[in-house]
Amino acid sequence: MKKKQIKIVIAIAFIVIALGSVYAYTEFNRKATSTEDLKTEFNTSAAELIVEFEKDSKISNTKYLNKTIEVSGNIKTIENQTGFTIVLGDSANATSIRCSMDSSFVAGKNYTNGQAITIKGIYTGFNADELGIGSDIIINKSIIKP
Amino acid sequence: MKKTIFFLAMIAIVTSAYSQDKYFTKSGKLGFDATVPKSPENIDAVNKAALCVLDTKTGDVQFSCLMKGFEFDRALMMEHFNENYAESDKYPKTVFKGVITNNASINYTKDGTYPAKVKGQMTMHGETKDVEAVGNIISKAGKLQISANFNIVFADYKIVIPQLVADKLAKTAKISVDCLLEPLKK
Repeated sequence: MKKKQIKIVIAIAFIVIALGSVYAYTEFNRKATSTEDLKTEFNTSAAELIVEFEKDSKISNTKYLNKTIEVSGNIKTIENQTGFTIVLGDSANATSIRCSMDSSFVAGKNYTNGQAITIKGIYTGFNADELGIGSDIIINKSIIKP
Repeated sequence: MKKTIFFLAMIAIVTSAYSQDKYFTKSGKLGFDATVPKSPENIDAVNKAALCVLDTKTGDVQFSCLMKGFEFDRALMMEHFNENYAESDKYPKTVFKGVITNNASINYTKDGTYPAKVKGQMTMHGETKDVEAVGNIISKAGKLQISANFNIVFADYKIVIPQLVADKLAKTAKISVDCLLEPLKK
């Protein structure tokens, strides 16, 4: 009887260790979730988002930080320096939304300035205008919603 | 006479409005590498939205980046970086303010590669420390390509590395800077 109990305990311990190491291994190798699979927490337009940040950037910052948001607006400019950045906003306004595109983004299609698009990404932070070059709402790992 | 003054004034206005003393980018690339030599595990990240402004007249240079903007390959590493080490919620931004010490020897308007020495202060994790770096400035077709490498010591910025991972994480991080600056038009 006792031998059986010991066997069961050993078996359970073995299973726990095995499961634990599998969990540790997958957790360790876990890749960042692709933006496509993230659940959208906020849905807004570029103009509204800019107004919100111009009103109170601190409150807006805490509201959106690390959140997945979808922003619809017109393309202000497209930059291709170190990976693509699509800037949304109005050229008359100094504040704009800078969407740093995910590495999965391929500029196969031609996007033109002024074109209306929807971008999904993770809000990363707000760069206040300290140097006279305009404030920026930074969105990271962005993808374009079809 | 009046015409001449008007004309000269116009030239002055135009040239001052388009004087290309200042260069900037909002999509500079900053690399971060804290891999222990010979370790099979790479600990590196990249930030593609760094801000950089350079005043060619004075040699003043400024960088700033959001800590949350660093992208790691592994999700867990990124979480640890933001939560345990950089404490990105508390200290969202890292700023470097410095000056190019050999600014006079760089001819920004002439195409070419110029070695540059930068001296300044970096504020990260709530701590400000002196930083010196050597890099290159490549002037090409009116744009400036800046590249530099330097090391930072985590302990200087009061970033504590737990004993458990001390052999996986280097005590210093290699920082690489890669920015393409465009003239700032006012």
